[in-house]
Amino acid sequence: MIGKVKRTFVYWTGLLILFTLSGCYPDESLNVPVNEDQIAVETDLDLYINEKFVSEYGMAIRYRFSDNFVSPGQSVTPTRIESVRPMLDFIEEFWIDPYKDIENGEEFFRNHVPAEIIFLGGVIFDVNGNLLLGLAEAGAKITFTDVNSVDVTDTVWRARQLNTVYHEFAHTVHQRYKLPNAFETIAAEGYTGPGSWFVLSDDDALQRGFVSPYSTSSPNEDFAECVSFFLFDPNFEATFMDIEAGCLTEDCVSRNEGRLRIAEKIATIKDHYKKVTGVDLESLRAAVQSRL
Amino acid sequence: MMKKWTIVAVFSILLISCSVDDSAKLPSVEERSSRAINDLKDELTAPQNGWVLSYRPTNQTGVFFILLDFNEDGTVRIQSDVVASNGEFIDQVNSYRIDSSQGLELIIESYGVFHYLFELEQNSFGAEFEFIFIEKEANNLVFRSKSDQGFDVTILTFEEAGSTAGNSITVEALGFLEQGIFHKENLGNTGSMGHFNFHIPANNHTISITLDLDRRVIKFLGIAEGLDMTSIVAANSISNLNSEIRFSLSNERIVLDQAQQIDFGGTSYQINEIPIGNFSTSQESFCTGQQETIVNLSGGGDLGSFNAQSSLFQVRNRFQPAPDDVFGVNYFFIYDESDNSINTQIEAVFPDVVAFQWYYNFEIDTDSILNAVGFVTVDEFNNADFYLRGFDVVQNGNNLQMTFNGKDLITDDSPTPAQLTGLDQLTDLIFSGGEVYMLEILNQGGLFEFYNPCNKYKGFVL
Repeated sequence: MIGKVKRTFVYWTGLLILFTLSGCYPDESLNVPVNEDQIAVETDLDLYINEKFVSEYGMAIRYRFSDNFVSPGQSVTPTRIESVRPMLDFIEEFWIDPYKDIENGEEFFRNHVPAEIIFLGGVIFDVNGNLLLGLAEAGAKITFTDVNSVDVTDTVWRARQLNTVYHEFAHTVHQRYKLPNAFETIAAEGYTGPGSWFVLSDDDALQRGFVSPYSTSSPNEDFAECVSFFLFDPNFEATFMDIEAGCLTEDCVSRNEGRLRIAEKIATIKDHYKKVTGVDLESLRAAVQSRL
Repeated sequence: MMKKWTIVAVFSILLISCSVDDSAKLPSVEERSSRAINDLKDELTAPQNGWVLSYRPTNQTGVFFILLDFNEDGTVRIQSDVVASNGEFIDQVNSYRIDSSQGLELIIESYGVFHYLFELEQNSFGAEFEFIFIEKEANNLVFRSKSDQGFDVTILTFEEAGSTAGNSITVEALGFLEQGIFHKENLGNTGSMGHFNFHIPANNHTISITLDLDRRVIKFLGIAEGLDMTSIVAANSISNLNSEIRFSLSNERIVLDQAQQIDFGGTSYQINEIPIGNFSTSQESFCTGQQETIVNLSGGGDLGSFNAQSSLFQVRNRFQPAPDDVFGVNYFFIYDESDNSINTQIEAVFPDVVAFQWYYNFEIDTDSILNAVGFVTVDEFNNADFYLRGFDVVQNGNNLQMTFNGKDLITDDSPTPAQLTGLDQLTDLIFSGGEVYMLEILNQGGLFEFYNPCNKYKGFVL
């Protein structure tokens, strides 16, 4: 009796895929800058962008759609014009201004700012229907997805955008100054790879000493994720550093071991930042958190 | 012979000299590209009233009516009969760009109606917002989709609009039709389904239809003798129709791509279009103490004099007993009265839950039938357990009267009291009042929405 029910279940579970989404970062993608000559319209919004971002920081804001912004096979929609200004205000308040608030912060920001910021209206889907929440672009430029949902009071949306921008910006540090000495040895056994990190859960990653599954994909991504989570996540200490008391299970013990590795990484990263950029990450974190 | 060679030599010289001269005079690639872009822009901006586009994103969809009025400053006013997103696509200004890449490309580069359609079904709906210019044909501009690859490539024909083209856009009635959807959110990305019963008093007939308002497809589910659920059940004279036809909207009418022929009870209907201009809303109760806002339509034409209501009741659909199959869904896709998933409540009882299941006259063996709903768990060793609550059922049309009967099926050898109590509490909640309506979702391969009219809980089963 039960056997038939179970056999039917095995067949039926395949159909669940119809309702399943997966979220991940893709591999680093091919991107070609949009041709400036093709941007003909100059609106008040363009003038604002020119004054506040292009002239001020040398940072172009691409909000008009070009399919070169994503890889072949990926699909995404453009921004609503009405969403662009709120998004500009968001990145100014939550990304640029915190650097201005701290010692050496503004100088660091101006010296490391990427040449291009790209706004995409929706989230990206690949050819298999997988949902991509962000693009890994190694700091050369920063692409914001889901700009049409801009709402700074939406904590999930806000966290995703801050994760994107602080992650990508952190890449500039290891690109110019290399990773902290022996950083990759702190949780050396825990790395997976670009093609397999997504099989891990958040808890799996923590037990290995990582702040997210994606951070296990390489030491560079680990570095960027550590910086990003440390800056934007209000619960960083509670989740990733505070030791659980009275552990009775192997998982709990592993989580605590993972937390010790993360604490070591954060200490190393903070020293590295201070030494090579003059930026105190604790001060920067306080500046970011004060705005949340 | 000499004369022939002379002629050949002269032609050769002429050809070479033409070739050399042309090359010298040919404008640069940039100049030609710029000129071609400007020429297309001139074409797009020329008509005084813009362009009409009868837009069919794929061969599986009906037609969307779109008016485009291009301006020199890189903006385009786009009017459409897409009423989604609080009507923002009815009349909107977008920016556009013409690129020269794979030929001349027209790109609608800020978010509007084309992008809304593109985003449906996780960007797989089949719409587009980048068009490659093919040719000017008579007075029409012909484009093809850039994003369609391989087959079913959309061809878009811009026809010069007349001064009254905007009057053809049907938006108000469409807005009312959308109220025939019994939930507010696009749950599970299933789209916008309006469920209606058309009553023809002169013939004592009721026809149940579902309108897929995103895809512009109408499904004729069934026709029955009688004008309400009670008389239809009593007469028990029902014919299954089960036909899907694409449609467009024009001048407050649903216009079918091809006619629906119905022969029933000695009456023949040939339905080419359905007027939807005369509408109102009212309150209807499908469960004691609960009210639903419904849409009322009335009109004539191919159906004869009719009145119609949005309704949970359908005289017939494909949700039928399944002796060899099980209906089910990821447990996330069960929702409360506010369209919020109740997944956390389910997880609280069954932490390893993976699915909600529904067995309907399932033949366990030759003399044993299972009617049950409940949950499936899978533990870390991939062992599945079933927590199913048995019920007795009576089905009329798509209405199921359900009474839990204590004939539960639980494969866990030692279920906890919390699991047993939790199973009862969850199923009591979802099926509070003891009845649900099964609504057929089009284009989704046997997907049904179950809707409890007593507490407005709902979910999907496949």
